[in-house]
Order: sequence, then C-alpha cells, then structure tokens
Amino acid sequence: MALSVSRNNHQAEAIAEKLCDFLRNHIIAPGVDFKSDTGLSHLGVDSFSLMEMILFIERCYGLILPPESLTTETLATVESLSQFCAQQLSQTNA
Amino acid sequence: MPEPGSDFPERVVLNGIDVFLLHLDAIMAKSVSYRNVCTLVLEIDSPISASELNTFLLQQQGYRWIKQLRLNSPGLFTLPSWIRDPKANIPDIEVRTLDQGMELPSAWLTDTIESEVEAPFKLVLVHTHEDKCFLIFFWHHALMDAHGGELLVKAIAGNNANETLSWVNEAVIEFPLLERAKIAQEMKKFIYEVSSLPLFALFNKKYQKRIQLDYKTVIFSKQQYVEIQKQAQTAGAGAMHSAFYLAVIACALTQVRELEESDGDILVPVPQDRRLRGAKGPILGNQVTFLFYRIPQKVLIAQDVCTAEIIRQMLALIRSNRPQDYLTMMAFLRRVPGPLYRFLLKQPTSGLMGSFFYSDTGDSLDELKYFFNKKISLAIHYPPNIYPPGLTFVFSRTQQNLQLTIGYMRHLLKPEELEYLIGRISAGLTGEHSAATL
Repeated sequence: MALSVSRNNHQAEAIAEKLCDFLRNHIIAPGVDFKSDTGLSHLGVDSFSLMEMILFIERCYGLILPPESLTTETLATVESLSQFCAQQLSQTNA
Repeated sequence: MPEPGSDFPERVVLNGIDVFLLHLDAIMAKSVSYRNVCTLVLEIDSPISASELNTFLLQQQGYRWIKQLRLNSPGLFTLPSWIRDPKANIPDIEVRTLDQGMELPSAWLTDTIESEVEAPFKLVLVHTHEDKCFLIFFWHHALMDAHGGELLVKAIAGNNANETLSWVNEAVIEFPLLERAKIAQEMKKFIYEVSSLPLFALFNKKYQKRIQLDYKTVIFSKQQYVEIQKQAQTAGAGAMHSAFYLAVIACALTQVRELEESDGDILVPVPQDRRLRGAKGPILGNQVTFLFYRIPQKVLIAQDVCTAEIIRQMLALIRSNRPQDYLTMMAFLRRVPGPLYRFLLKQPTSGLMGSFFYSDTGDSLDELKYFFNKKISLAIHYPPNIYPPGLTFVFSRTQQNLQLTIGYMRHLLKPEELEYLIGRISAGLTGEHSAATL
C-alpha cells in the first residue's frame, strides 16, 4: 500500500513536471513565474487552455479524462491535475 | 510587419482577422446604419476634469501614436496597414453631459470611425450630475480585439509606469505558400460544411434596412455566481464554465422562438484569445481565432445535453487543429480583392454569420481598477458587430460578479420577448428566477 502511494506520488510529480513544461512552452507568457501549486485561474488559464492541457495528457499518456470529472478542484493547479491523472493511470493499470 | 525593435512603428500590417473585420465593416457600411466599432465603458467613482485628462493623455507616446494611425488600403493583392501620419492633428477628447437621473443612452454606445481619415481610437468623457463620470472608449474592430482594448486602457491609465506592455506583435514566420494554400482550402471546406443552411436565427432580412441597436446588461451577484458555478458542475461542464454559458444561451433562445424542424441547427462562431496567458500584449491586432460550433437541434432539449455536445465539439476542433488552421486560412486570404473576399464571406450562409455571436472575455476586466488615479467602479464591453445575426451575448467577470451584455437589433425581440429571454437565461444559469439588471 505504502509502495503504491509512493509510486503514485512519483508518477504525479513526473506528470506535473511535463505539464509545467507544456504550459511554459505553449500557454503561459515568458517571464510569468509559476509552480505546480500555483492556481491555474490566477495564471489566466481559460477553458480553451484547459482543453489543450487535457489533450496534451491524452497524447502523452493515452489517458482520456471525461469532462465531468474535471472539476474546479481537480483543475485548480497543475499539482491537483497531476495527482488526479496519476490516480486514473494506476486504476487503469490495476 | 512592424519595424524591428520599435514599440511604435510607422507601419503595422493587418493580420488575417483584422482584414476579415475590415471587410465586415465594409459590408455593414453598405447594408446597416452601424459600423464595426467596439465600445468599452468605464464608470469612474469621481468626476474628471476634461482639460487635465486631455493633458495627461497627450503626454503619453502610446496615446499620441495610436491617435495618428490611419488605415492605408492600397489596392489589389496588397496588404492593408495602419500607417502613422506624423502631421495628423490629435483633437481634444469629446465631452458630453448626461441629464440628471438618466442612464447612458444606447445611441451614445455606438460610433462611426472612418479610419482612413480619422484616428481608429476615440475617448469620450461623460459628466454626470452625481459624484461619478463615464469614460467611453471606441475603437475600430480591425485595430484590436476586446482584450487589446483593455490592454490599451491599462497602457494609458497611468497606473503602472513600470509595467511594460507590448503594442504590436513580433514578426511571424510563415511556412511554405503551397502548404498554406492547402490548409486554407481544407479549412474553407470545413467552414462551408459547418455553416450550411438552414440555420436557426431570429434575424429576418426584412429588418435589414431599418436597424436600431439596443443593449441590455445583466449583473449577477457574487452569491449568484457561486450558484452558477454549481449549476455548471451539475450540467457536467466541470471547470469548462464557458461551455455551460453557451449551452444556456442556445437553449434559452429556442424557448423564446420555438424551433421548427425547418429552422436547422444553431451555428455559433466563438472567438478565442491566442495571446499567451499573463502576456502584456500585444495591444494591436485581433489576436483571436474562432471555434465554429454547430449545435444540432436534438441537443437543445436540455442544458446538460447541450453542454456535453459543446465540450465534445471543442475537443474535436482543438484535436484536429482547426483553430490554428483557421488563422492560416485567414492570413492567406488577406490579399484576395475586396469584392471577391466579401462574396466568399457571405456565400455559404447568404450573409448570415451565425445564429448569434457569443464571447466570454474572462476575468481580464478585473485588472482595470484605476484610471487617471480614479477608481473604476464598473467596466462593460458593448459588442460591436450587430450585422446579421443581429444578436450578441458577451460574458465577463469583474469584481467577482458575472456580467452578461446582450446587443440586439431592436426589431428582432419584442420587449416581452427580451424580458422572457433574460428570465430564461438567468434561470438556466442560476437555477433561480431573479438577477440584477442594468
């Protein structure tokens, strides 16, 4: 159980890193400072940009996230989204 | 293209969307009595001296530069540009006075701008008999989009002397001509298919020559906005609130005027700001692409069904790169001669651009807090292009309130129909029946 949680956390961190890179290269203006726990709405990330992030996850991990599961809480930060994705991936692989 | 390294170049070439809006203005000039001019109104919580404001604005290079721009549309197969005329006179800002107890009349919320001979940007100061005033900003839609207008207001507001805003876009590297032509051809085919008639719309051609324009703004309270976010969740929108708003509008409209089978689907072109998030510009140029939603009649039975369909289409459009391909097509079409361009524009739908226009400007109005050291108590965008379909819905969020401004041709909606439409929209968004109105 502890191993599974640890694996999840590692995966979530890896996803978060990739997502932050994607945001830096495609969505967020240069010079805007943010971390994985920065509120996405504070960065001005809108519905369209959220869709681009979701499709990025789809391309990278083959993970299709249903829109109704993408609540304000899940999409609050890169960190929360990454944790959600890691959970979904571990359920898919289980 | 702007001169390299200059914030205020002598020449700025219009991009693909700018040219489209320029042609739309030409169509509007011929067919209706309104022009493609955007309006942003700020309510300021104290009076402003016109002479002091004038002096303050004239001290700013950005303001002087934009007031000296003139549209240059040289001729066949060449690109229109904004050219700075150093000899152009910069007139004082216009001043009006509102009668006591009156609201800003609709007639004051529109203007005509002949950009070849006058500045594409204007400011009107409206005095009132109360302890407040209004600033009305007008700009030609081919100059910039709504967010660009907000950035311009920020640039000349005098608040952040150290905040650097970029005025023009950097040069864009284009890929080979044949590749662009191929993308343009495919995108044109997609647009013709997605906008094939029949389409549901309130617009009726017999009103075309007798257009009168009106506006209605609905402001939802902070508490109602919390409810709206819950309703969006219930409708399955998740965090995609804009899809929910659009679904509510589409469903409400078909309750006002019942759908017949022959009416067709709903077509809505929705603009998307392509500026990077957090970017301080560019101010000039319409930095938007469009998503074209064709909402079938069968999903208009319920908001959650409609929301799901909109989200499905949004994913499909982005997945197939339509937003970027649209920009490629529009850039490619810039050199098409005017009459042919306008023919291509009107052809698929006999001039009907959509069932209605829709826009969600997001939270950016929240960044407008002070102008000329005076507090801004309210900021509202008034939609510019009332050309057929003659109905526009603009959502924005300011001071944690959700605002909806409706621009409409007066003949399309009887007063009781407008009231009913607003009631259906409010109920759809909040799940209750009351909302503040302006």
